[in-house]
Amino acid sequence: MGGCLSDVRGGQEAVGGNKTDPTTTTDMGSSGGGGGTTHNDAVDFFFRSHGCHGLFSQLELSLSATGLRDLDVFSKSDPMAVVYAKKIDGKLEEIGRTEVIMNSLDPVWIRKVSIVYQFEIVQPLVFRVYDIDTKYLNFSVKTLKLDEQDFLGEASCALSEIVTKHNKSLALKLIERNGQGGMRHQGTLTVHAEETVASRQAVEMIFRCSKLDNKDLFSKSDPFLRISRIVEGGTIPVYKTEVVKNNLNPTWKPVCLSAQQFGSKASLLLDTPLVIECFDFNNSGSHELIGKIQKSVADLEKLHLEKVGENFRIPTSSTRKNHMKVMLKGQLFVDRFSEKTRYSFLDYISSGFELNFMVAVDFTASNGNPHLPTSLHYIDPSGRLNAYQQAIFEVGEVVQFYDSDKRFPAWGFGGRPINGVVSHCFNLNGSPSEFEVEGVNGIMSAYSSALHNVVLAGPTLFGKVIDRASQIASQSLHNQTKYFVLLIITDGVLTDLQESIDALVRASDLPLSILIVGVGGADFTQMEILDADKGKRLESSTGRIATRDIVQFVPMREVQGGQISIVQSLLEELPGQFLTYMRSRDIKPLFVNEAQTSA
Amino acid sequence: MDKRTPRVLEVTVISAEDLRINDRSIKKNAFVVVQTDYSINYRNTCIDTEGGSYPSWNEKLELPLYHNVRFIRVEVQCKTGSSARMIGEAKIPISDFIGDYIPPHYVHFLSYRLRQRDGERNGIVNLSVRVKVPLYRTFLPSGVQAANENYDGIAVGIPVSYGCTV
Repeated sequence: MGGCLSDVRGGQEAVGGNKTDPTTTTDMGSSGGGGGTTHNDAVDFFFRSHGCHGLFSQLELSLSATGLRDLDVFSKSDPMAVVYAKKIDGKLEEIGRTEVIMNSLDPVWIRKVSIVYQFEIVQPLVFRVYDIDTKYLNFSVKTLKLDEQDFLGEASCALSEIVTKHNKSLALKLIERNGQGGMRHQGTLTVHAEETVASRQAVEMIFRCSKLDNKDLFSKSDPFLRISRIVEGGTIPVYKTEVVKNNLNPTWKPVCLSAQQFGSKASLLLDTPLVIECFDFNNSGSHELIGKIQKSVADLEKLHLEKVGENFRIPTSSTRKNHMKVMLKGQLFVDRFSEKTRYSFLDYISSGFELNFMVAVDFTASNGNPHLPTSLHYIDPSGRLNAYQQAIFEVGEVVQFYDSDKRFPAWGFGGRPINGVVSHCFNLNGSPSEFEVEGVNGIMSAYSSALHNVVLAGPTLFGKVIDRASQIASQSLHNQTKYFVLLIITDGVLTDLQESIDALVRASDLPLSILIVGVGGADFTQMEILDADKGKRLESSTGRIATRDIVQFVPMREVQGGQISIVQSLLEELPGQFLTYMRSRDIKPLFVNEAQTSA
Repeated sequence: MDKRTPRVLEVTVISAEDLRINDRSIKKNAFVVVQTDYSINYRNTCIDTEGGSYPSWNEKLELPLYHNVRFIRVEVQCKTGSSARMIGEAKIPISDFIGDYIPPHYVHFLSYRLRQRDGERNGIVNLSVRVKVPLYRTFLPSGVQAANENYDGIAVGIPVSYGCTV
């Protein structure tokens, strides 16, 4: 279920001399205790946490090329481009091809290739350009056999390399392999990625009802709304409001609907048909239908402009008129309707925002002697990665694309440097002052090197490395384009759970997310407490409560055998956490400021 | 008397959750008092007559923040008849939003557990806090001062005045 809550006042601008008052609210707007309260807490925190739940973006790739090789004797080449996704097994799967541009060495193809962007995986792409033989020019491009055409060149990159570039455009060299096994650079291919316009559309509405039917025997109804979109064969819920207890004339908090919730096929948000159902909340979970309305988003806007209500209807069980719906006196009003641009994760990334990766590795004795094959830190001579190396590599290879300088802070904790004391935050590269290493390979090298220079000790404490990451995030607050991702890899239970909770609560107001990977076979119950997905909001020993959920925990063993890699489980919530932070502070992508400055 | 110009503390009281009196949810009329540990400096929000035990104010309060203030106190009360009853309070250390690395103007979104007078836990209060840099009025012409006073956005780097050459 997707959706988002926003209390940003309509018409307020975030840039220039106008006042900005970004707020984040967690109020429920209801009274009374019991199940309703619990239900409201869960719903509200869920929506706050999932600012962009299950993020995926539909992208369209536009291709152009310059400097292609001239193969035709009496005319120039007739180029066509084909786009492949490279699978894990190395095979290429065609995902689209352009039209043929006749007589051109510098084609600008018009047809776009669609691809779904997934943040949590690396998506390698291969582009091949062919010169289509003259006798095939009247054929449909789909029927062309590529081995009958002249091959002009090939280029490859990851999809995230394109979307992290300014304006989402990437220039690639086309490489041709000739018959003698050599390679030659011939021409340049430019790939531009664009999100569909619908991705940014969002509508915020405030719903109010009057004269609802009373379903409770000794008190008034506890109504909530469920909004679903209509698909073939039924409906799919996309939004659920909070419960307003004991009220037949409720007003709910703002509902925010975005095109993304309706899938890639919805080209126009306003035309989307919706079913709005009003239920009376029951603790048993079997909620009673009060009434139902079917409207498009545009219809709801019309209700708002005309300031009229729409009567609910309820299916009747009368045997005489089996399909008739009874019109009720209860009505739905739209008190506020505002269209807004909801900037996507890719809007921020392509305008220059970065994800800065940090790593912290557990060096406590419970991992076992690194020289023994049973150790979790064992470096296999065959080159097979241990669990720590696997986690570092798989997370790092995804996140590195979003960091421009690719210098990553890397720490260890719970180990004792030779001739030193036990440290709960030491630099992995062994340097007393420099904590950054170069690239993912730099982390791997520093890790292997540290195993020779550090004695495993204990106990297991997270607080110091979390505070150190928070310190770095704090120092970057003047630059709003930086967001930090700390990966903690650990094998054991915490010695001081409360210290870790306190550090996490302090960090929750900063541009920082924390990924925790559990390796080995220990009991990870404490980790589940830290992960807000399965626990409640963290509360520090001083009574401060986490502003937002920044922790994601995944035990290594659960995913090693499955199809979904550990990286996908860890990283899928990261864009949502990023967006929750940015939107709560009304921070916009850089191109918005540029546009307004030039205006 | 402190001769230094105090900074201005801007507290936006956003909302509260699950407010109870004698373990029963309050029905209406919650409001919040914010004060520094200098007890003469305090501000009230308006009364939320509709939110029940989950009130919402979104109200901005400003207090002077002297350099030796150690914490601010946020007390949630409920107006009953002609008087007010204390629901719970939270003591917020200054270090939660002023630190060695925190730049000026950074907006903190903070939530705190409320404690009753007897120490029992009550609900949660949500607010945002920002420290505004002092304005040296004697050195600025009124135009710049007015512009600065109207400027309420999040500053990036060093704040600059608008519409005037410094």
